[in-house]
Amino acid sequence: MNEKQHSIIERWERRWLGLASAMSLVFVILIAANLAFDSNNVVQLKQRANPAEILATDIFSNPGVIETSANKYRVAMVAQTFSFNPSEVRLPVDSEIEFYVTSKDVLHGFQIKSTNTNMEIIPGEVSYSSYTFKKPGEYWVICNEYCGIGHQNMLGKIVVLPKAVYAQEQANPVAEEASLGQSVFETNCASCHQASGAGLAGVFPPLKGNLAATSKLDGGKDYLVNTALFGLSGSIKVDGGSYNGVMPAWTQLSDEEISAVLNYAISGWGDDGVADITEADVAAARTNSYSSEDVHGLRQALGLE
Amino acid sequence: MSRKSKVFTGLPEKKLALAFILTAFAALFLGSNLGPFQAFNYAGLNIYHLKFMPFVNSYYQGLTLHGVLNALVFTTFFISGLLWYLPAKEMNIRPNMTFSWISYFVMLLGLVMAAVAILANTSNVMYTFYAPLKGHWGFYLGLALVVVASLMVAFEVVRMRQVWKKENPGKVTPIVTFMSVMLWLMWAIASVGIVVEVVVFLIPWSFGLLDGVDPQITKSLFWWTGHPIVYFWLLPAYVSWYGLMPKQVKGELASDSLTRLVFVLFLLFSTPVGFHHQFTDPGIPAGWKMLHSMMTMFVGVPSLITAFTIGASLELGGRALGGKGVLGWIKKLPWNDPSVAGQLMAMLLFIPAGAGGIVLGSFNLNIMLHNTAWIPGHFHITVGGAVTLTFIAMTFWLLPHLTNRKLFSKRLALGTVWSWFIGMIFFSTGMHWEGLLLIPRRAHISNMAENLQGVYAGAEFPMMLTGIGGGILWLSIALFFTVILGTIFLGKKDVDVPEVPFVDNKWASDTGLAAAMDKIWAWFAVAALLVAVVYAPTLYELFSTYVSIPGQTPW
Repeated sequence: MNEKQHSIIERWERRWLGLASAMSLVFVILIAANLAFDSNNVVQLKQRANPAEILATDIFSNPGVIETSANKYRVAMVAQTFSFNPSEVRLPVDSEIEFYVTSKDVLHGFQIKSTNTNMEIIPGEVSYSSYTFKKPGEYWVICNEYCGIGHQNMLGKIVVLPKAVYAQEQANPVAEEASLGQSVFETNCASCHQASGAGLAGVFPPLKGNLAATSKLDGGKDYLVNTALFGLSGSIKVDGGSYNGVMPAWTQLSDEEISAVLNYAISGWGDDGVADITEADVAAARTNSYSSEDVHGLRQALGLE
Repeated sequence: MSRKSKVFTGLPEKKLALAFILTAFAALFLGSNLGPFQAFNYAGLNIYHLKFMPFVNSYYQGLTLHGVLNALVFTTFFISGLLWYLPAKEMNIRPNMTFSWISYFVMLLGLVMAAVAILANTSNVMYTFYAPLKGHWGFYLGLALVVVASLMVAFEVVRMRQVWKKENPGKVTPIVTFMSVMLWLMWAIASVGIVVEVVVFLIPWSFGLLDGVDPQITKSLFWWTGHPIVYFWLLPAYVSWYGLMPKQVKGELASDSLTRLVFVLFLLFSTPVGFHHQFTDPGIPAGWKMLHSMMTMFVGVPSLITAFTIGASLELGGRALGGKGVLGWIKKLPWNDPSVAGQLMAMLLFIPAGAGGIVLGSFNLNIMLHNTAWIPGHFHITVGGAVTLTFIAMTFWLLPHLTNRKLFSKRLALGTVWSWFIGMIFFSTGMHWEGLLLIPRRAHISNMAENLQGVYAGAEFPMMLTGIGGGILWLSIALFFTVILGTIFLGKKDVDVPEVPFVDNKWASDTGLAAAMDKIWAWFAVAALLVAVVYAPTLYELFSTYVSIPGQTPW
């Protein structure tokens, strides 16, 4: 390259540098302009505090949907491994929906399919953003932040209804047919073990049939209560299949809820098990304070793999 | 005296550079062989329950191993070997070999600790290890040792440059050394975040000395390092593109001052952009996110300058080789040289990769794509494509140079780079596309309780592309390691041993702009100040509302 060529290259270089800088500036202006006109989906921090304090607030002590003013609704959800509570909400179309979401344990994601809502859910913080659904239909809520072995199953559902249908549902609520045990199961357990109790190959064992059999063993009942309360970790075998997922501890559920959900899982699918776990059984077991590895030991002591 | 010791007697640097680079490839071997399993997962094929791999218990453990070994370990070892060896060679200064060997062994110890922790199924926390997911202390301590060792290398390279400056008063640092020193200074500022995160919080926590940590703070500290670490990976590829490759194509460096300017800009702007990984985090105020988004747009500028300067440098080569017309010079480039062909393809991959990166850096667009499959799609054509393909291609001259053995098979080497290029195009096109359909990253979607097609409808075609890409890449890995092992064990001795292809830098000057940019400590201070300004207010706010969250191990 001679001097002349070099000076030509330098001249174009300066033009290119100007063009590149101008392009970046245009991008910055476009981003700022877009956000100035439409920033409903930009996450806001509503609270930063100890999770116990957050979960005790009015918003989260009983999560779900409430109408805060005309045509404006607040949805509160608690994310936990590996489900959203509540796992399904029903909302009217063309209404402003305010989402308040927090986490009980680890980081989770909250992304609503077919919308531009996407928030990180962090324990100790409350994430907020708002959205107005323009079309009725079913919208999946996806946890898009890795949260553990059952992460891929952490899904919620938003059912958006035409206004008239929503109003009718509110006026004539369908009688709550599900028992307490079934509703606790579907909120907390079904994302891993599935609503049918069939489990998931390799990770989460089937409960249908399996819990009924365990309930008949000597000491089986105590083991089931301890598992529900304190979780279970370590590889196990059920009906010849091995499973290495992790069962979280559920100490936050009440004695009534734990006994109901266990009785449901023992007999709820038409199995012939001994479904006689009482609140007193759960209250007594609470004082054990086992670790999830300890529960694995209890399992082996029962002669289960 | 054995032949091997004869090679290294005069040049003990070669032996250590080889140790760094071969250890990097050992990590890559294990890490990359897990990759196709993850690609098949995104094609809807669940292979994990078949127990092909006895030491991997779950998709998530395999993914953690893949990410840590490839993105953190392979890169750090390779870069530490390369950007320690090249400056020493260019300045003709002997490094302190004892100190440098210690840094190698510290890094090796770190690698072994982290790998054992993951293999034992104790630390399935991904390479981002977001608390309160809690790994084994060996995992955190291992990673800390890898980072500390890399900073020892940084120290040694900067020290060698100071020695050179003293011996050459009034002269400007040689170009490859200048680029390397800027990278190491950038890394010194960038790594502060991860060092504080791991040393102050995660290690004491994993030893049980802390009950909990604040997930928003540790995540923010992670991304303090987590974004510039991508420049820590990318800039060594730039060093090769600017400082070595023009020589390989009979070209020359088109502009000395612009090359230096690019590296100064990277020193300044690589780090104060980390919040663009946290646009959907509630705890970071929107105003600061916007500022980081702005800085991210401007860190695109040095890469755009690079496209020009490298393009011009290569064109000079193509024309010297007889190329005519507007694009005719491209055809004349030595595409039959695997080292050149691989790096040309790496550059091609970086064009869509850079565009996709600007999308992700945009505050508004990012919200749609955060944590979707778009992200791994993006970083497989950046670090997995542009960077890794450049490292692979460089190896085709570097390994013969370090071992005095002829490259085992030029044809297999060409096959490696082509299959890597094509495989990554398939894989990454599929992943970007799945991201647009909001399929999440890091999800074992081939083993869902819900019907996959019920939730992620319409994704069959991109999923197929991802799977095909994974298969092609597996072939590429097999070819690459055949070439590596073939060269080491079967390569002809003392034949065609290439020298380091340092570029002809005719337009270098010891005055003016180049001299101003050689005041590295002034630039270092400005860069540190910039980072302090964009991080301090938010971190102060977060620390003053500290929340302690206990650890969880849900795997």
